Amino acid sequence: MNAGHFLVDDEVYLTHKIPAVLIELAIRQGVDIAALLRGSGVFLEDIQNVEHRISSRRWQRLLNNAVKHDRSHELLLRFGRQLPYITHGALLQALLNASGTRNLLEILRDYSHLYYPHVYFHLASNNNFHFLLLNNAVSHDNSYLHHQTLMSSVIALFKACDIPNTGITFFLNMDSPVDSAALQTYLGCHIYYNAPVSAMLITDNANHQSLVRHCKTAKQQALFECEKIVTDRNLQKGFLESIHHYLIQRVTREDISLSSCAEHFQISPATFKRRLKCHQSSFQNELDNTRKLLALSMLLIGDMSSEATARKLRISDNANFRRSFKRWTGMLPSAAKDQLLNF
Amino acid sequence: MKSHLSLHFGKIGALLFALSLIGAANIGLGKPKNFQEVSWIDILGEGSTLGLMLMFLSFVLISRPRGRVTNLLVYGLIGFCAANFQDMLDEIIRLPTALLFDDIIESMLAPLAVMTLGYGFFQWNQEQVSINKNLQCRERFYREHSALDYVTDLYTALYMKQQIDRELVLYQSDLQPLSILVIDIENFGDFNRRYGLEDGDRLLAQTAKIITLNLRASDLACRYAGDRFVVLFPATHLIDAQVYSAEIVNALKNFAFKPSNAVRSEFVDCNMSLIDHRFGNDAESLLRSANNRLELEKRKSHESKAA
Repeated sequence: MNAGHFLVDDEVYLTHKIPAVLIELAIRQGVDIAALLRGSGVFLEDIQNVEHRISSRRWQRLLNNAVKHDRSHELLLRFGRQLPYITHGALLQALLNASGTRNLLEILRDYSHLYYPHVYFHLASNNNFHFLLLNNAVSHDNSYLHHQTLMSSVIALFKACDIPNTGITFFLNMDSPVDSAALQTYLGCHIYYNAPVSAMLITDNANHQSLVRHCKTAKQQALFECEKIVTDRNLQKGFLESIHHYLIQRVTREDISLSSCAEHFQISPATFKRRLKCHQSSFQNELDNTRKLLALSMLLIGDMSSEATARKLRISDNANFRRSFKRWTGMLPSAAKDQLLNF
Repeated sequence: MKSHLSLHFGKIGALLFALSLIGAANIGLGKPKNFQEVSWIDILGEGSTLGLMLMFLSFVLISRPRGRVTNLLVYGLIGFCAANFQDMLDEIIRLPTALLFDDIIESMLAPLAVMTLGYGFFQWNQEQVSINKNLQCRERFYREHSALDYVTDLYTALYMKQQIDRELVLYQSDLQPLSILVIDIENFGDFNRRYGLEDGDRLLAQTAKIITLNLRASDLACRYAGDRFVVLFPATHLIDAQVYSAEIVNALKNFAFKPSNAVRSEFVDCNMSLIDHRFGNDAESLLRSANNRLELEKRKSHESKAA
């Protein structure tokens, strides 16, 4: 594992936790065990072994196999519902004792690497909405599978905290499936397909009121324990997540180049490029992705104009920004505001 | 599901005995033909026919339980295989002309075998008619086993969409109305967490049975996804469908489910929404409307409980 982040081939998943639950669910749904485990490097005996770990790449393979052989199309959504209950007890305690919807989402964002290492969250809020964007911490391979799982998981958390899940719009960065029954049942009817990002737009009708079960002391204690777990086990964020954090801190203040980014990660530009390619990405892709997230947050949640957003992102003129935005999202800024907010 | 092969060792024995007897008789009584006299094309044709018959036979033995229909099909196929085997051996072994052995096997056994097989297919047809009656309320005019849900044995959402589209065509041509009911089980997630996934699946399967028990022969129930079911009431106005829906919900409310490790039974609460053909132009939009209304109903129910 490299200092500060883990790579796609680093073994970060404890086999007896997240993978074991997926395997059990898949077998229960009639998926053939041999087909499920093929190429994943996991044997059935490994599920009992508390020391055994697999890499993100192998976890992805397991997920791909499960989805390929799942006839019901709801395996990942069911798995997502189980995710809060197999995560670290301290993290679940912190989430269940969150003071409000925003606080719950903040905890999820801050400890995403503890919750589900493959995905991290970007959160933007105003008085009425929370915009939770889902990003890939390690690689972009079949990212929609992870995003669906996490969305189902967030719904399960909301239910556990008595937060109503009726004012949520889901943006999925995938084509509308032939059979959308499972997505409609698990997520709801407000699903926007072919969206520029995977995200949830959550209406906060409670106007940031405290949740019924909120206990400040329990939450603080739980967060302290989460920090201890992260430190003791040296849990790190994914490679792409680390790059995103670097970029998001600087993209509004300075011009960033591949060399400066590589220097920050203490590797040569050539190695950096190679490593990005290994994670199915490129520097330009990550830079565009960061700008896209910031632009969407500013336009939809910050209610900023196209011109103000362009200035914030250090794009020289509005026409350039509009062109870039169209390249990132497939729509113009005004159309994005109109279609995504009013869906 | 385990195969039924272990129920048919006797029949497999009969097949092996028949083929061995024919092989031994040919080798014992006949002489091999010269290489130039052998017609390889005939051997290929008869050999592949034999191979196919053996393959059909193995499918029957693996998939069917014991019974009269199975016996007819299997013995008919064994007879046909025996005749075919003799026909194939005839190409490479010359039997004495005076011996009627090969004529008996080829020319007399084969028609008998085909007649047995024919009668077996007739009985199999009768069996299917009876099975089709049992599948009422789970199937309409079209069978596709790959679209079956493994937990409830109902068809899935895709099948329901096809049936709704079919009914919409009838509505457009003959103004024949249709109604759609969507039901889901309240707090099914909590149930799963308390009693486990196995009991959760059992609850779904039994809920499906109760729903189908309370339907008319023309209605269709499918599992939509998760804990959600869809019922199609063809040729039914909304007012009548409301009565049928209330009966289904009532039946579910009075259903005492017994989890494996629980002392007391659990009673099922459900949410429902009912729409008719006016709520959309196609199956997708109708189901979306029904699901939307279900979400609204659930929200109202949640708010009233919170109040």
